[in-house]
Amino acid sequence: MKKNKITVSSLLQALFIGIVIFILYLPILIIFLLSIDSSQTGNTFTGVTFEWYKEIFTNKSLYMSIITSFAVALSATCISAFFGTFAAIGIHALSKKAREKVILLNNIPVLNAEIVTGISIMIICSLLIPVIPDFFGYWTMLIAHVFFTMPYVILSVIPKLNELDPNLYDATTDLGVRPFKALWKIVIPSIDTGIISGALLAFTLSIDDFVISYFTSGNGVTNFSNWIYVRLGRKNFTPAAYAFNSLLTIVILIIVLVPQFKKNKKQKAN
Amino acid sequence: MNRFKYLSIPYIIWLIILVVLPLLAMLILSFMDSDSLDLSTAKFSLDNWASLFNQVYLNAFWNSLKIAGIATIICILIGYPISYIISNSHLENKFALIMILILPMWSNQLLRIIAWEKIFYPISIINNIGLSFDLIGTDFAVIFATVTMYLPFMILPTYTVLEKMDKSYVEASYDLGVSRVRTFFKITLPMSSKGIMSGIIMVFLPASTGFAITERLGGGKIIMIGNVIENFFKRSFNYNMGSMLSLVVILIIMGAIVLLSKFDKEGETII
Repeated sequence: MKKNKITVSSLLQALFIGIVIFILYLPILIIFLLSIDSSQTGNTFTGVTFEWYKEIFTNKSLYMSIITSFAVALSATCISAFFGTFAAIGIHALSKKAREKVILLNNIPVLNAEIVTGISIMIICSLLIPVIPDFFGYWTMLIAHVFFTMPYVILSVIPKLNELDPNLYDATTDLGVRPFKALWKIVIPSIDTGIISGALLAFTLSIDDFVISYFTSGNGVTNFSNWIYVRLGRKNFTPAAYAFNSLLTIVILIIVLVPQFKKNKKQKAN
Repeated sequence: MNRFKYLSIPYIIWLIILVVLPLLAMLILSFMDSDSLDLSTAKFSLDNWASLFNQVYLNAFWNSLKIAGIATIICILIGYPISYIISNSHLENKFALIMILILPMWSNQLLRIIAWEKIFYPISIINNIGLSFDLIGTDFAVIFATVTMYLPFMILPTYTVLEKMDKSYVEASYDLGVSRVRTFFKITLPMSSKGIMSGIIMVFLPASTGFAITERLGGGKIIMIGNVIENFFKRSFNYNMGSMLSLVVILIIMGAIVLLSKFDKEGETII
């Protein structure tokens, strides 16, 4: 195939991808329409308003749920990235047989149904209620989120450890550097891309989590998804949720796509 | 670096507490008749397991398999060609296009389901442009929403393997006079099967065990196993039946994990 030659098949391909992109973005467009629609029910479009955008900052239960979402996601990501990295180093150092077994165990939270993971953590945390009466809420959600995000960090870090030259670490310690300092100065910088991609994945999964938080939140502390779920079809639901989601989506689109197109321009310039 | 072995121990203990212990708890609960988690009045009971083959649960399992199965097949039929087209295109910025296809994932899942719900009712926001659907409670609505929800999870892994694939095999095949179709089935497809496999896992597992899509779009008519389990734990507080059904789900998934580990020992398929 020659470059830049427009054929029927390439037009059809572009059309196909265009339709799929349209369908994938249609819900986002609808959420945006609902966010500027002045009718509260969202069943008809009665006029443009920015009232719901203002309400994000005045509806306390809504902004508290948004803050909880971010607080849980940020803290779970940091904890998972930190402990997950060390766990991965430990798992990597195991013998082949033991490593395969631990990885099988590590895959369970990844592959298990979210509903089962949520219920599992709920049951374990319920056992602690006699000791800590108001346990459900931020802390139980944090435990659950660390539990389901850490395996992803480990799965992103282990391939980087496999690529690492073991002589590098040995050379460092042979030169008299203490083992943990060698780990910190040599190993961690060489696997940092794995840690970062694992952490990004962890954050993405945690911030949008619905099912696992549904079973582990409580005592009035809930995240954004669950705030929506319990209010659906009720009077205390507000289109401010659409407004917040639209803002977030636009910010993410800009953050992710602008560097892509800048890169493209640079390549063209070269 | 072998001295760092012991760093894995805390994590193994953590996994045992949060994976193995709940499984044991569920196993015990499933053989009991108790008032949620209160074991003081609990009695041993086989009734929960005996009712596994109740038509309601069999239907729910069947619905989960059917809806998730069809949705997964549609995701392969749409997602794989997209990955293939983009990977073989001469676009300057293929990655940006992939990012555009994956970005909808960052918009809240529940709100995206609600967006479909809003336009699948006859009276909706799209009446203004002269359209009206009446699809709530149909398999179509549930499968359609499931596909749009999980399609990015099929595109990402298949695109990754197709990009990494050594294209010189394909060129060699063309040079030897093999047709494009035959080359695709003999070379490209087998070489990208790992990506399809992880796509299937990433689409089928969440699609078959979710409950939000059927809850909002099923109109009370389409019930999947996730809805049944959710109902037992969150509404009727029958932890015994809920645990029994969760264990069945786990057993099915475990079977899948064991199968997977046969040809993927380092867990590379998942990410």
